[in-house]
Amino acid sequence: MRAVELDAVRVVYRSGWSIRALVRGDPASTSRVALDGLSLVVGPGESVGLTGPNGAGKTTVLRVLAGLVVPVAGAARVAGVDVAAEPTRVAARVGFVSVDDRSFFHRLSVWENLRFFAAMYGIGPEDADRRLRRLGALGVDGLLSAPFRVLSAGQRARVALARGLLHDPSVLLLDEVTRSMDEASRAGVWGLLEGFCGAGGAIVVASHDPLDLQRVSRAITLVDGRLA
Amino acid sequence: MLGRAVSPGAVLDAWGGDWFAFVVVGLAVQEPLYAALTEGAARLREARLVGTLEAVLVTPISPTRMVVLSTVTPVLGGVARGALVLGVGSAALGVRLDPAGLPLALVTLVVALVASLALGLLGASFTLVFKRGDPVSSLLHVASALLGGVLYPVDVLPESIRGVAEVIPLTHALGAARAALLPGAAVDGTVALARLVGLTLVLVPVAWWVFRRAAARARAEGSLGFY
Repeated sequence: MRAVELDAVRVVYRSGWSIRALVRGDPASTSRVALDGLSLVVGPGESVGLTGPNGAGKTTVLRVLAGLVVPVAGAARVAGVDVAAEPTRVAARVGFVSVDDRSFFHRLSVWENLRFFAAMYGIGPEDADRRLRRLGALGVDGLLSAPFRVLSAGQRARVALARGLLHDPSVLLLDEVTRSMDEASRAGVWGLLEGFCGAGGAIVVASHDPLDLQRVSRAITLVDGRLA
Repeated sequence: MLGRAVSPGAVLDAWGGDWFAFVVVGLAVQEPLYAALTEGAARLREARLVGTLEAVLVTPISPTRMVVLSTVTPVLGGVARGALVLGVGSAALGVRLDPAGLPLALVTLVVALVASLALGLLGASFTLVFKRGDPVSSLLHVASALLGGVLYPVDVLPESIRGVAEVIPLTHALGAARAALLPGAAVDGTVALARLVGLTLVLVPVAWWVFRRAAARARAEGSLGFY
């Protein structure tokens, strides 16, 4: 079975409704094509790197697969399950890792954050602790009691990766995750990710970094929402 | 209007004739219902503003469940404040309550909370689609406070707007709770409860459908987590 499949996916971002626009009688005044009929298949055990200029659609691919954006045409499937039709079922199989550190609760500790998000997957504190110990290569153990707000950018990225892996996903979506990491951290992370693929997991990573793209099994360049 | 309600006239006789007790029960019931009405949209907006919404929505938690679950703590706080109002009113301010009516009052509260959560989902739908603060819940709260009979019986309202009070869940929740708790109340609480149940049965599927449509629209625009 294919781990990830995009079938002629078209995504159009619209400005959305606003009270002002509705009053003017122009509810969707602007739009931009983010993905233009993109097709992509990723098999189990494979890691695919998405690269390309800003606005090429790399992050949008990840957001479609995470169920945050629904295509206006085409279909996205994870392990054969349609993302738009069954986002909750797909969410249990996907780990979405973004370096947006606003996605954590800054006033809580790292452990409290991870425990909160583990609970969203129905994982209790003891089970979360056990799963976290399996992710030792990320070096998150020593950060658990620290408030999230005091972490460096690289440490936050490692915590984000731990969050994305806690529920044992079969597909990992990484958005520029290694951007702020030092050499040692990056090597540790890629060691872990290669182990993930070795166990049958699939990875789609959006990155500009040639060092990341050297580690993936296949790199794809996107331009204007299409394969280059 | 308020004067008519405060004066021990025929309007209050149906509720036992004690305006202070009437108000105490009104405020106690209003507290948790207000939390259920407003907190879902408020928490959704807050999660969008601080940036945690997307991180939650990529988990198997549906947006509907997220909004409803986020109201649990505020609603429990509202229940505690309502109980405090009743407790202080009863123990220190001489309000007489009928303990035998407590089971019916609790059933009424549970049904009314479900109805208020449904109305809160409508407010959250507005926040999802328009990416703005939620005026829907605020308007509903003002309408409920003015027309729902918290401070005075709805019978004192002008005939022309009394019909509006009939479609506000708080009106029937207060009717059933007061009929159960106020000694000497000559109103049949089960009728008010039946009307509340009827309203709830209409509101829940409508609010659920509207919120799902709003979430689908936000997903289609790619704006689910943005503000």
